[in-house]
Amino acid sequence: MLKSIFKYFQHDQKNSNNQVAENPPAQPLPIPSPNSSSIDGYAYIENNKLVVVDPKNYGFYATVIVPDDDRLEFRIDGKKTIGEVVVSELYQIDVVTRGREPSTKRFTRVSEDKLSVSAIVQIETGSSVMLSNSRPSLQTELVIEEYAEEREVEPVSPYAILTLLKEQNFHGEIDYSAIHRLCQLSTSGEEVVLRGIAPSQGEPDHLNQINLPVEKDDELRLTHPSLITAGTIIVDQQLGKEGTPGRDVYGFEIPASQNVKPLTLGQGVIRVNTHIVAAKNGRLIFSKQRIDVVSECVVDHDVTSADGKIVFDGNVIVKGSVLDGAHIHATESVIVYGDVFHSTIYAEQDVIVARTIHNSKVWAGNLKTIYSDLSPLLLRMISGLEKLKEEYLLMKSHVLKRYDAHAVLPKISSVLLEKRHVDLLDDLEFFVKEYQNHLSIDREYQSLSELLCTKWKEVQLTPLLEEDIQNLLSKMKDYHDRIVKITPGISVIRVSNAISSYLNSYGNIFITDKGCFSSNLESKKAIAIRGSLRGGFATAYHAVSVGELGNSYGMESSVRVTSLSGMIKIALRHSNTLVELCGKRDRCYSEENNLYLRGDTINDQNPVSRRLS
Amino acid sequence: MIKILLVDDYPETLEALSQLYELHSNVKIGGCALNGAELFKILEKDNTFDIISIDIQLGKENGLQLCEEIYQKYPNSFILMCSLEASEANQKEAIRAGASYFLAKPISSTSIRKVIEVYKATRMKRAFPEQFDHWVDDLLIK
Repeated sequence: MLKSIFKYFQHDQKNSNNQVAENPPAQPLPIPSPNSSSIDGYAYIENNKLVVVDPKNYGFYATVIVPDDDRLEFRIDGKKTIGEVVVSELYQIDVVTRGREPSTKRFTRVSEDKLSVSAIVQIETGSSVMLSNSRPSLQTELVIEEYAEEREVEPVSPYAILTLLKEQNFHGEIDYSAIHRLCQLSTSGEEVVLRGIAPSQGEPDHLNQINLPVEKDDELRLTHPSLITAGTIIVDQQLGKEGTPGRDVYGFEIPASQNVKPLTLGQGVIRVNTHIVAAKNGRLIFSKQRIDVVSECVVDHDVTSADGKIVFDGNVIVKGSVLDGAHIHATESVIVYGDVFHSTIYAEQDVIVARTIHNSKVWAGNLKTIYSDLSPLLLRMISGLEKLKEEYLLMKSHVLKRYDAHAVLPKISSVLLEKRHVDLLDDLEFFVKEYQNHLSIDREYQSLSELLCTKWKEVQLTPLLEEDIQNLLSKMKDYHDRIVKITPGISVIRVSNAISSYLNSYGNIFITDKGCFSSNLESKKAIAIRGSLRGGFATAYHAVSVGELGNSYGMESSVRVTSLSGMIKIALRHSNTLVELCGKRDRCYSEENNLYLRGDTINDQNPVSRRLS
Repeated sequence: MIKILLVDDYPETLEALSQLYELHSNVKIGGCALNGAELFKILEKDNTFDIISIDIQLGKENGLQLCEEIYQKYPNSFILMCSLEASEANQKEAIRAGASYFLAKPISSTSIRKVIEVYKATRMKRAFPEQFDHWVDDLLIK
């Protein structure tokens, strides 16, 4: 490039010199004009060597273009050079080309499940590098040519692979035949050469339910197992196999996966040899999670407040209605064949009401719902008690220095509670009052509540010492640990209609007839209302399905689903109603048919979800 | 006991709200009003309500305006705006009008519990505006 520019200048100069005779330039050119008999120098490559010939009579020196390549080393007087350089016979020019030696690389790869190790052999053949021969020229570009060499690559020895495995401290069964195969390869290759031990999965117990008679209830459209007596074999159990743990290639144990759902045997059954047998008379409960026999209390007449508070460990079945301030609390299900008026029902399992619930409160799966509400309060009280204890100890250390320590010491806790821990005092009072009805079957709660009522209620009158604070604190902690571990059962509320009532279920809620009026429905799963939802609120985690939301007079009604993959389905939606799906809200000002919203399809393309704000 | 006054133009909503509040043992519904006139009539007779819950849309009346009036007359009251319209603008407007809390419908027992907790915390703040720096000495002197 440089040379051609000079050539251009030279040619241009010659032309201008010719023109000088006719039109002499205003200023003479600084470069002396070369002799017309000048001979340019040149260079060329021959047998991988650079030959340089210098110019004569002020001709140009030859240049060489050296590429930037690791395979070539170009030195002029010992100095490494790249790019276009001027060369001369007088220079000490060394041109060295480097080929590639043949090589073999060995490494290992562990599988994702850490159960096998592959050895990888990468064979690279060698090559020789030469400069291409070129013609003598003023400008010579060095061109590198690479020739593959068919040289014999030394085979990988089995010992090298075994050493590699040993160095990396792998454990397991070595596959010698795979190593042998790998060592015979003339090209690159990979083989699994070491294997860990995969865990073997256990087999669950197989439960064969003995065919017991079932009862059909046409009124409630229910089919359930008949009542059974103590000693009845419920299940013939074939014991499964325990899984065996495996070991990965690093030598660590892989536990055997037990694909077995935890099965709870209730207190109403016992294991006799390979049988599960009813331990008492009652109704059989047989589900995937639980086998039990529960007692059943059947009330043949209407239940009223005159019957007192019914707290029963088992099912409560009311053949009539539940009236006027009655209170039923069952550890299993509650079934009412009539209506429920102005009453309260708690059930740990299902609540089924054949007719209508009026002005009542109903909880299904009550304990889990209550415990999930109670947990933050307990944590707050635990933290409050810890702080109280800390301050008590600080004050105690101050008080002990005083002459009247014996008189002041018993007052410390009451002073602290009244002056600095009013919120804790408030929470303790709330804990006792708020959950008394809900947790009437929870003995631990009752004992805690009793302790608070006797020892902590009148803080001014009863001296509370360090051990009292510590005692309550440890009891609260134990109680909290227990309630967070409770696993909920499947609980359902199924009623025909609900009017001015509150329904809360840990499972689904089904309203099977005309619908709900001025009621509040809360479900941790789904709510399905066949008829209409007018007034009040419905809140569910997964889904709400309503036949008709609101009414033609614009009665305010609203529905909320909180899950991100939740669903809302409304056949007829009237004005002045609101739906909220995963925090996005849509208020309706005109009638609308067949509204269907899904949380995971909320996007700008969906015309309905576009409205959600 | 926390005493609550509910204001909503729909009797059905008043009923549903009452049920939810009454789930709490320390809460009592002291009165219900369908409009501003009824509200002020109740307040004239008894102004000992701890929480006043007002709907934004009260038929022809504006709940926010009502909130402002109550706030001017009873600046210590805990006013709760409760509405289907829960836009950010409405919430800001409610706070400007003197509301202490905004509750978006549909309402659940959990949201009511939160209201009560917020109310209690506010009350505590008023009762104990600041912590004593030398509380140990202060308590021991007494």
